[in-house]
Amino acid sequence: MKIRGDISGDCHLIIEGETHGKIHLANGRVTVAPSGRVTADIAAPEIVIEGNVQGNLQARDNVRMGSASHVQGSLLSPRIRIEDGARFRGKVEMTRPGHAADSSARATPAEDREVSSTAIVGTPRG
Amino acid sequence: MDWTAKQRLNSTATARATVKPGPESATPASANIRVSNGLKEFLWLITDNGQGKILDLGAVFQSTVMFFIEKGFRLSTEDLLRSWKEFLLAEEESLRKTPVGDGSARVSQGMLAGKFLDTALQYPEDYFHGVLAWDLFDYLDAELLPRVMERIYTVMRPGGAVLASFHSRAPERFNRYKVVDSQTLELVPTPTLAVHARVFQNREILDIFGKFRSSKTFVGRDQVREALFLK
Repeated sequence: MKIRGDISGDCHLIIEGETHGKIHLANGRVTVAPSGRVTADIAAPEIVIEGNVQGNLQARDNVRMGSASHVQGSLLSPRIRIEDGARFRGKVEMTRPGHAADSSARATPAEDREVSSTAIVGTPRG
Repeated sequence: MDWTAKQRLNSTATARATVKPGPESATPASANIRVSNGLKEFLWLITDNGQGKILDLGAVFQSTVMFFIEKGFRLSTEDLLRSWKEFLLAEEESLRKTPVGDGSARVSQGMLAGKFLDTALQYPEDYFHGVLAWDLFDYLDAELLPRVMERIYTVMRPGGAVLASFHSRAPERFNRYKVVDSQTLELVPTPTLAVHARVFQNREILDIFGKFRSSKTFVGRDQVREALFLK
């Protein structure tokens, strides 16, 4: 599945497919699964990357990059966990807890895809 | 005090010992630990700027990121050797899809190097206070190396420092480097990303850093040379 447009909401989001556009969660966690390919800036309290992201990551609480993750963009978070094997090209900055995601601009409502519980973007599971 | 002044104050010591005998290059506890006097000196040179910007041209590691960030630096990472390898693979794939006899597909190594740098090492001029390049320059293609050096020079601030390592003989394995503390590195054995291109003589190292001011070279017992140059 491919999604073009901005995504915002108040829940956990798991991305297993492709997305293009900004992702902003006021609460919850954004997880880019190993099969996920994201071309977007991501702002959320918690961000977990196991797949491929081209965009800036801005987390209020923490960012974790898994051993097979590939990120190209800047990383802004009070806590950062990078597993050996992760690939990263960009700038890392640490912020005080609770400050990183607050400054990110929200997506315009017309383009938003509002989600209210755990959402999975990707291919249906058989 | 700016770095130039700092270096000037230290110039007497530098002149006395341009090539220092290295410390223990590996502790008995672990063959993968290496003492780095080059890193210690590099940190000394850049500590005047607590919010300095560092560019690490190797693989990203948690300990390296945390080390510099906890010291107040802003760290950028670009795994240049891996990017180069992936670029070459992509070019090879593209060439494979090109119809036989299409002369436009032929590219020289110089053209490849130029094309690679259209997307790599893209930073503002005079931006970084320090650049880390362990196991990089002696793995780069002869056409790419001078272009990379030119680009690094451009993105560094005047007075900025480059710390690079050079092997004195062909290495037995390929390592990535984690910063453990201000004088210790952990070597992480990694599948080879690139063939070790050549062993540089000291004079050749000075030549490839031609636009920089020579600072110091540290030689470890493992014969790996750490070279520290200032812009």
